[in-house]
Amino acid sequence: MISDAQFLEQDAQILNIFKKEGSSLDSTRVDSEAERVPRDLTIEDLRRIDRIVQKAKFSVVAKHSMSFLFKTIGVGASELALAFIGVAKSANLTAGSVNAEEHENNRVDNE
Amino acid sequence: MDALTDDELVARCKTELPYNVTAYRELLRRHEPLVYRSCLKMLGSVQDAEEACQDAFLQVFHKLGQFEGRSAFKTWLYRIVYNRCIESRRKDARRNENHAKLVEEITQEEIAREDPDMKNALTGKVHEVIAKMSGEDCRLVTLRYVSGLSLQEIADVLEIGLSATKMRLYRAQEKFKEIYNDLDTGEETEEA
Repeated sequence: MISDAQFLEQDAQILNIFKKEGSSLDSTRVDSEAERVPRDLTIEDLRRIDRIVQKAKFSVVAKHSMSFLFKTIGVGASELALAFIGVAKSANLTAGSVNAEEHENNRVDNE
Repeated sequence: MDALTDDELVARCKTELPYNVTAYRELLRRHEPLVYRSCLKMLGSVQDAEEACQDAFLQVFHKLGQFEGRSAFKTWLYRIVYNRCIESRRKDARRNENHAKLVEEITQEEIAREDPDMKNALTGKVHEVIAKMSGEDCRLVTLRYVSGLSLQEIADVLEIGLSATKMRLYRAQEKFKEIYNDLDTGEETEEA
């Protein structure tokens, strides 16, 4: 079991290495309350942030466009299905009337 | 905006997104640089780091409505980042190694030339040590010393107990020191 003192000692040693090498962005950050204040951003940071914001906005537009597209396709498909049903029904009716006509003709012939 | 806390910004994001991105942009300004550098340490490649960082913040953008505030925003954010980095590592392992290395080297050289801050992040001794550490040790050290998370925050990100986190971090620290000292010894031998 590691004691708190052991852990903290090692923690401080490594923190010092990071500070010395400048790899910890802001040495005061660790366990500090000063996180609300953003550090000075570099141009590269700002560029990356802009890219993320643009991508997020684009993803919203893309999402809405896709849902609009699917809705349109859905509506189109259902309209098409209805049209097919209509065509099939009318074809049945036509076939029915033709049959009836033939039947009537046959009846007249027989008479 | 500067005066607002993260929680207040999150609350504003929940009501304003996706139509108004002012509060979201402020959250990015506060956290993105550090998240990016953490990804850079965890993944060791500029390209992967940028991709992982972007994905993590896009997830934040889309899932902020589901964030219930049971943990701090920062913890929630780093959990997303941590998981994204693990996923990226897995994908990376499957990718063609030689091709990836070549692309990474070129990109890193270009970025290092453009941005001196990045140059330090990619070529420093600390970076070298972290690059030599195993996956989990590397991520733990990064969360603690690059992202600046406290022990409790790391435990929340990893979703494990405090004592287990302390134990794992202690081992990672020992590993870090060992590799760091080895590098020191190596340099001294070379100089002699």
